Amino acid sequence: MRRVGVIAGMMVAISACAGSGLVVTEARVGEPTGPNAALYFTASGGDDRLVGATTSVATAVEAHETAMGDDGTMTMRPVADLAVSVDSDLVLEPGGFHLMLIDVDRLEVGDTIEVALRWETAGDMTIEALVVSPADTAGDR
Amino acid sequence: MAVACRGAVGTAELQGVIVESPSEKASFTLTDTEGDAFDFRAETDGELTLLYFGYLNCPDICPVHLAQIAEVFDQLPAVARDTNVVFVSVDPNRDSPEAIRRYLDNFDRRFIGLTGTLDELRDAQTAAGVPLAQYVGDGENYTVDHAGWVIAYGPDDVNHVIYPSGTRQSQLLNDLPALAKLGT
Repeated sequence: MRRVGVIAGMMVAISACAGSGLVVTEARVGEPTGPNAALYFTASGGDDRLVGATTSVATAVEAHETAMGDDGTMTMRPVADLAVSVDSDLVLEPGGFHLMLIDVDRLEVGDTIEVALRWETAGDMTIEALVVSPADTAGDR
Repeated sequence: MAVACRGAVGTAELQGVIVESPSEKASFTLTDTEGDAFDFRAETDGELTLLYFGYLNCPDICPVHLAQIAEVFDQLPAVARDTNVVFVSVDPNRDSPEAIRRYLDNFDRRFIGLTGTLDELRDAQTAAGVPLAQYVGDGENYTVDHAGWVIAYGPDDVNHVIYPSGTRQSQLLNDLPALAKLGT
Protein backbone atom coordinates (compact mmCIF):
# COMPACT_ATOMS: atom_id res chain seq x y z
CA MET A 1 0.00 0.00 0.00
CA ARG A 2 1.67 3.19 -1.10
CA ARG A 3 1.59 6.32 0.92
CA VAL A 4 -0.18 9.19 -0.74
CA GLY A 5 -0.70 12.37 1.19
CA VAL A 6 -4.32 13.29 1.74
CA ILE A 7 -3.48 16.81 0.73
CA ALA A 8 -3.28 15.48 -2.82
CA GLY A 9 -6.79 14.18 -2.40
CA MET A 10 -7.98 17.56 -1.34
CA MET A 11 -6.69 19.00 -4.59
CA VAL A 12 -8.55 16.52 -6.76
CA ALA A 13 -12.17 17.26 -6.19
CA ILE A 14 -13.85 20.51 -5.47
CA SER A 15 -17.37 20.01 -6.68
CA ALA A 16 -20.06 22.62 -6.58
CA CYS A 17 -23.68 22.99 -7.59
CA ALA A 18 -24.32 26.07 -9.66
CA GLY A 19 -26.37 28.61 -7.80
CA SER A 20 -26.62 26.78 -4.50
CA GLY A 21 -23.24 27.65 -3.03
CA LEU A 22 -22.82 24.07 -1.91
CA VAL A 23 -19.26 22.82 -2.28
CA VAL A 24 -17.78 19.38 -1.63
CA THR A 25 -14.07 19.12 -0.85
CA GLU A 26 -11.59 16.59 0.52
CA ALA A 27 -13.35 13.66 -1.16
CA ARG A 28 -11.36 10.48 -0.57
CA VAL A 29 -12.01 6.78 -0.26
CA GLY A 30 -9.94 4.29 1.67
CA GLU A 31 -8.34 1.62 -0.49
CA PRO A 32 -10.68 -1.36 -0.11
CA THR A 33 -9.27 -4.10 2.11
CA GLY A 34 -12.51 -6.04 2.47
CA PRO A 35 -15.90 -6.16 0.79
CA ASN A 36 -16.68 -2.53 1.65
CA ALA A 37 -14.91 0.80 1.62
CA ALA A 38 -15.62 4.15 3.22
CA LEU A 39 -15.97 7.45 1.38
CA TYR A 40 -15.32 10.71 3.18
CA PHE A 41 -15.73 14.37 2.23
CA THR A 42 -16.65 17.77 3.57
CA ALA A 43 -19.69 19.66 2.29
CA SER A 44 -20.05 23.35 3.01
CA GLY A 45 -21.54 26.63 1.88
CA GLY A 46 -25.21 25.76 1.62
CA ASP A 47 -28.31 24.60 3.45
CA ASP A 48 -29.06 21.13 2.21
CA ARG A 49 -29.52 17.46 2.95
CA LEU A 50 -27.96 14.46 1.22
CA VAL A 51 -30.75 12.19 0.03
CA GLY A 52 -28.91 9.69 -2.16
CA ALA A 53 -25.61 8.53 -3.58
CA THR A 54 -24.58 6.06 -6.27
CA THR A 55 -21.37 4.96 -7.91
CA SER A 56 -20.53 2.50 -10.67
CA VAL A 57 -17.82 0.87 -8.52
CA ALA A 58 -20.17 -0.43 -5.78
CA THR A 59 -23.49 -2.21 -5.71
CA ALA A 60 -24.90 0.19 -3.14
CA VAL A 61 -23.96 3.26 -1.13
CA GLU A 62 -25.22 3.71 2.43
CA ALA A 63 -24.74 6.56 4.88
CA HIS A 64 -23.39 5.35 8.21
CA GLU A 65 -22.31 6.82 11.48
CA THR A 66 -19.59 5.32 13.61
CA ALA A 67 -19.71 6.27 17.26
CA MET A 68 -18.01 5.30 20.48
CA GLY A 69 -20.09 4.03 23.37
CA ASP A 70 -19.40 4.76 27.02
CA ASP A 71 -17.39 1.56 27.34
CA GLY A 72 -15.27 2.28 24.27
CA THR A 73 -17.28 0.02 21.99
CA MET A 74 -17.39 1.28 18.41
CA THR A 75 -20.80 1.10 16.80
CA MET A 76 -21.78 1.62 13.18
CA ARG A 77 -25.37 2.41 12.25
CA PRO A 78 -27.19 3.58 9.12
CA VAL A 79 -27.99 7.26 9.35
CA ALA A 80 -30.99 8.79 7.61
CA ASP A 81 -30.06 12.42 7.69
CA LEU A 82 -26.79 13.99 6.56
CA ALA A 83 -27.36 17.72 6.66
CA VAL A 84 -25.20 20.74 5.90
CA SER A 85 -25.90 24.39 6.61
CA VAL A 86 -24.14 27.62 5.81
CA ASP A 87 -23.20 27.75 9.49
CA SER A 88 -22.19 24.12 9.92
CA ASP A 89 -20.16 21.99 7.52
CA LEU A 90 -21.07 18.38 6.95
CA VAL A 91 -17.85 16.50 7.73
CA LEU A 92 -17.49 12.83 6.86
CA GLU A 93 -14.38 11.36 8.54
CA PRO A 94 -13.18 8.15 10.22
CA GLY A 95 -14.91 7.60 13.54
CA GLY A 96 -17.89 9.71 12.45
CA PHE A 97 -19.98 9.79 9.30
CA HIS A 98 -19.06 7.97 6.11
CA LEU A 99 -20.69 6.72 2.95
CA MET A 100 -20.13 2.97 2.80
CA LEU A 101 -19.47 1.57 -0.67
CA ILE A 102 -20.91 -1.94 -0.50
CA ASP A 103 -19.38 -4.78 -2.54
CA VAL A 104 -16.90 -2.30 -3.91
CA ASP A 105 -14.70 -3.08 -6.89
CA ARG A 106 -10.98 -3.56 -6.48
CA LEU A 107 -9.44 -0.10 -6.27
CA GLU A 108 -5.86 0.95 -5.81
CA VAL A 109 -4.23 3.93 -4.18
CA GLY A 110 -4.06 6.72 -6.73
CA ASP A 111 -7.25 5.75 -8.56
CA THR A 112 -10.12 8.21 -8.68
CA ILE A 113 -13.75 7.24 -8.62
CA GLU A 114 -16.87 9.19 -9.51
CA VAL A 115 -19.75 9.31 -7.07
CA ALA A 116 -23.12 10.85 -7.86
CA LEU A 117 -24.57 12.71 -4.89
CA ARG A 118 -28.20 13.77 -4.81
CA TRP A 119 -28.98 16.75 -2.58
CA GLU A 120 -32.51 17.68 -1.56
CA THR A 121 -32.17 21.27 -2.76
CA ALA A 122 -29.09 21.47 -4.93
CA GLY A 123 -29.96 18.36 -6.92
CA ASP A 124 -27.42 16.10 -8.55
CA MET A 125 -23.69 16.59 -8.12
CA THR A 126 -20.91 14.32 -9.34
CA ILE A 127 -17.77 14.29 -7.24
CA GLU A 128 -14.39 12.70 -7.82
CA ALA A 129 -12.77 10.94 -4.89
CA LEU A 130 -9.14 9.88 -4.71
CA VAL A 131 -8.36 6.39 -3.44
CA VAL A 132 -5.89 6.69 -0.56
CA SER A 133 -4.40 4.36 2.02
CA PRO A 134 -6.82 3.84 4.92
CA ALA A 135 -4.16 5.51 7.08
CA ASP A 136 -4.60 8.66 5.00
CA THR A 137 -8.38 8.83 5.26
CA ALA A 138 -8.01 10.27 8.74
CA GLY A 139 -6.13 13.25 7.35
CA ASP A 140 -3.83 14.35 10.15
CA ARG A 141 -1.12 11.78 10.71
CA MET B 1 -12.12 3.15 29.73
CA ALA B 2 -10.35 4.02 32.94
CA VAL B 3 -7.39 6.24 32.25
CA ALA B 4 -4.88 8.07 34.35
CA CYS B 5 -2.39 10.85 33.83
CA ARG B 6 0.78 9.89 32.06
CA GLY B 7 3.89 9.43 34.09
CA ALA B 8 3.94 5.87 35.36
CA VAL B 9 7.41 4.38 35.51
CA GLY B 10 8.68 3.64 32.02
CA THR B 11 5.66 5.03 30.24
CA ALA B 12 6.19 8.78 30.58
CA GLU B 13 7.14 9.25 26.95
CA LEU B 14 4.16 7.37 25.57
CA GLN B 15 1.49 9.27 23.65
CA GLY B 16 -1.19 6.59 23.72
CA VAL B 17 -3.80 6.37 26.47
CA ILE B 18 -2.17 5.02 29.62
CA VAL B 19 -4.31 2.43 31.39
CA GLU B 20 -5.02 3.09 35.04
CA SER B 21 -4.37 -0.47 36.16
CA PRO B 22 -1.85 -2.26 33.94
CA SER B 23 -2.93 -5.83 33.32
CA GLU B 24 -1.03 -8.97 32.46
CA LYS B 25 -1.15 -10.27 28.93
CA ALA B 26 -4.37 -12.11 28.21
CA SER B 27 -4.38 -15.89 27.94
CA PHE B 28 -6.57 -17.44 25.26
CA THR B 29 -6.30 -19.86 22.40
CA LEU B 30 -7.86 -19.27 18.98
CA THR B 31 -7.25 -20.54 15.45
CA ASP B 32 -4.79 -18.81 13.12
CA THR B 33 -5.15 -18.33 9.39
CA GLU B 34 -3.33 -21.61 8.71
CA GLY B 35 -5.96 -23.43 10.73
CA ASP B 36 -3.61 -24.11 13.65
CA ALA B 37 -4.28 -23.47 17.32
CA PHE B 38 -2.64 -20.25 18.50
CA ASP B 39 -1.95 -19.83 22.22
CA PHE B 40 -1.77 -16.04 22.39
CA ARG B 41 0.09 -15.80 25.67
CA ALA B 42 2.65 -18.46 24.85
CA GLU B 43 3.22 -17.50 21.20
CA THR B 44 3.84 -13.84 22.01
CA ASP B 45 5.66 -14.35 25.32
CA GLY B 46 8.19 -11.63 26.06
CA GLU B 47 7.49 -9.71 22.85
CA LEU B 48 5.87 -6.37 22.11
CA THR B 49 2.38 -7.30 20.94
CA LEU B 50 -0.47 -5.21 19.57
CA LEU B 51 -3.89 -6.87 19.89
CA TYR B 52 -7.00 -5.69 18.07
CA PHE B 53 -10.51 -7.08 17.81
CA GLY B 54 -12.38 -6.22 14.61
CA TYR B 55 -14.09 -7.62 11.52
CA LEU B 56 -13.54 -7.56 7.79
CA ASN B 57 -16.77 -5.79 6.84
CA CYS B 58 -15.74 -2.84 9.00
CA PRO B 59 -14.83 -0.14 6.45
CA ASP B 60 -14.16 2.71 8.81
CA ILE B 61 -11.91 2.37 11.85
CA CYS B 62 -10.48 -1.17 11.47
CA PRO B 63 -8.51 -0.43 8.29
CA VAL B 64 -7.32 2.88 9.70
CA HIS B 65 -5.78 1.18 12.77
CA LEU B 66 -4.17 -1.59 10.72
CA ALA B 67 -2.88 0.69 7.97
CA GLN B 68 -1.34 3.04 10.51
CA ILE B 69 0.51 0.18 12.18
CA ALA B 70 1.65 -1.18 8.79
CA GLU B 71 3.04 2.19 7.77
CA VAL B 72 4.83 2.59 11.10
CA PHE B 73 6.31 -0.88 10.53
CA ASP B 74 7.65 0.34 7.19
CA GLN B 75 9.34 3.22 8.96
CA LEU B 76 10.67 1.18 11.90
CA PRO B 77 11.84 -2.14 10.44
CA ALA B 78 13.96 -3.04 13.46
CA VAL B 79 11.02 -2.56 15.84
CA ALA B 80 8.68 -4.34 13.45
CA ARG B 81 10.86 -7.45 13.46
CA ASP B 82 10.28 -7.89 17.19
CA THR B 83 6.62 -6.85 17.31
CA ASN B 84 3.56 -9.02 16.92
CA VAL B 85 0.35 -7.60 15.50
CA VAL B 86 -2.58 -9.87 16.28
CA PHE B 87 -5.93 -9.17 14.64
CA VAL B 88 -8.85 -11.16 16.02
CA SER B 89 -11.93 -11.31 13.81
CA VAL B 90 -15.02 -11.39 16.00
CA ASP B 91 -17.21 -12.16 12.97
CA PRO B 92 -16.64 -15.90 12.40
CA ASN B 93 -19.85 -16.32 10.40
CA ARG B 94 -18.50 -14.16 7.56
CA ASP B 95 -14.74 -14.07 8.07
CA SER B 96 -13.06 -17.34 7.12
CA PRO B 97 -9.38 -17.86 8.01
CA GLU B 98 -8.57 -17.55 4.30
CA ALA B 99 -10.45 -14.25 4.03
CA ILE B 100 -8.72 -12.94 7.14
CA ARG B 101 -5.34 -13.81 5.62
CA ARG B 102 -6.17 -11.99 2.36
CA TYR B 103 -7.41 -9.01 4.37
CA LEU B 104 -4.29 -8.75 6.53
CA ASP B 105 -1.99 -9.17 3.53
CA ASN B 106 -3.38 -5.84 2.31
CA PHE B 107 -1.58 -4.28 5.26
CA ASP B 108 1.41 -6.47 6.21
CA ARG B 109 1.98 -10.16 5.64
CA ARG B 110 3.47 -10.44 9.13
CA PHE B 111 0.20 -9.57 10.82
CA ILE B 112 -1.30 -12.57 12.60
CA GLY B 113 -5.00 -13.29 12.08
CA LEU B 114 -7.08 -15.27 14.52
CA THR B 115 -10.67 -16.34 14.87
CA GLY B 116 -12.69 -19.05 16.56
CA THR B 117 -16.14 -20.11 17.60
CA LEU B 118 -18.38 -17.54 19.22
CA ASP B 119 -17.68 -19.17 22.59
CA GLU B 120 -13.93 -19.07 22.03
CA LEU B 121 -14.12 -15.44 20.92
CA ARG B 122 -16.17 -14.53 23.97
CA ASP B 123 -13.50 -16.09 26.19
CA ALA B 124 -10.73 -14.24 24.34
CA GLN B 125 -12.49 -10.88 24.65
CA THR B 126 -13.15 -11.48 28.33
CA ALA B 127 -9.50 -12.42 28.88
CA ALA B 128 -8.38 -9.24 27.11
CA GLY B 129 -10.80 -7.13 29.13
CA VAL B 130 -12.72 -5.69 26.20
CA PRO B 131 -16.50 -5.42 25.81
CA LEU B 132 -18.02 -8.39 24.03
CA ALA B 133 -18.81 -7.86 20.35
CA GLN B 134 -22.49 -7.39 19.62
CA TYR B 135 -24.09 -8.41 16.33
CA VAL B 136 -26.66 -5.86 15.17
CA GLY B 137 -29.10 -6.17 12.28
CA ASP B 138 -30.46 -8.95 10.12
CA GLY B 139 -29.34 -10.75 7.02
CA GLU B 140 -25.91 -10.49 5.45
CA ASN B 141 -25.38 -6.83 6.17
CA TYR B 142 -25.40 -6.93 9.96
CA THR B 143 -22.80 -4.83 11.73
CA VAL B 144 -20.60 -5.75 14.65
CA ASP B 145 -20.15 -3.47 17.61
CA HIS B 146 -16.65 -4.11 18.87
CA ALA B 147 -13.90 -2.72 21.06
CA GLY B 148 -12.43 0.24 19.24
CA TRP B 149 -8.89 0.25 20.55
CA VAL B 150 -5.55 -1.44 20.01
CA ILE B 151 -4.16 -3.07 23.17
CA ALA B 152 -0.38 -2.83 23.48
CA TYR B 153 1.49 -5.37 25.60
CA GLY B 154 5.15 -4.58 26.21
CA PRO B 155 7.93 -7.17 26.23
CA ASP B 156 7.15 -7.35 29.95
CA ASP B 157 3.81 -8.96 28.97
CA VAL B 158 1.87 -6.14 30.60
CA ASN B 159 -0.70 -3.84 28.99
CA HIS B 160 0.34 -0.28 29.84
CA VAL B 161 -1.28 1.66 27.02
CA ILE B 162 -4.08 1.51 24.48
CA TYR B 163 -4.69 3.27 21.18
CA PRO B 164 -8.35 4.21 20.68
CA SER B 165 -10.05 5.23 17.46
CA GLY B 166 -8.72 8.64 16.52
CA THR B 167 -5.11 7.79 17.36
CA ARG B 168 -2.66 9.49 15.03
CA GLN B 169 -0.01 7.53 13.21
CA SER B 170 2.63 9.84 14.69
CA GLN B 171 1.64 8.65 18.17
CA LEU B 172 2.32 5.04 17.21
CA LEU B 173 5.58 6.07 15.56
CA ASN B 174 6.63 7.68 18.82
CA ASP B 175 5.44 4.91 21.10
CA LEU B 176 6.49 1.62 19.50
CA PRO B 177 10.24 2.12 20.05
CA ALA B 178 9.56 3.13 23.66
CA LEU B 179 7.24 0.19 24.21
CA ALA B 180 9.84 -2.17 22.77
CA LYS B 181 12.15 -1.21 25.63
CA LEU B 182 9.65 -1.72 28.43
CA GLY B 183 10.79 -4.41 30.82
CA THR B 184 14.12 -4.83 29.10
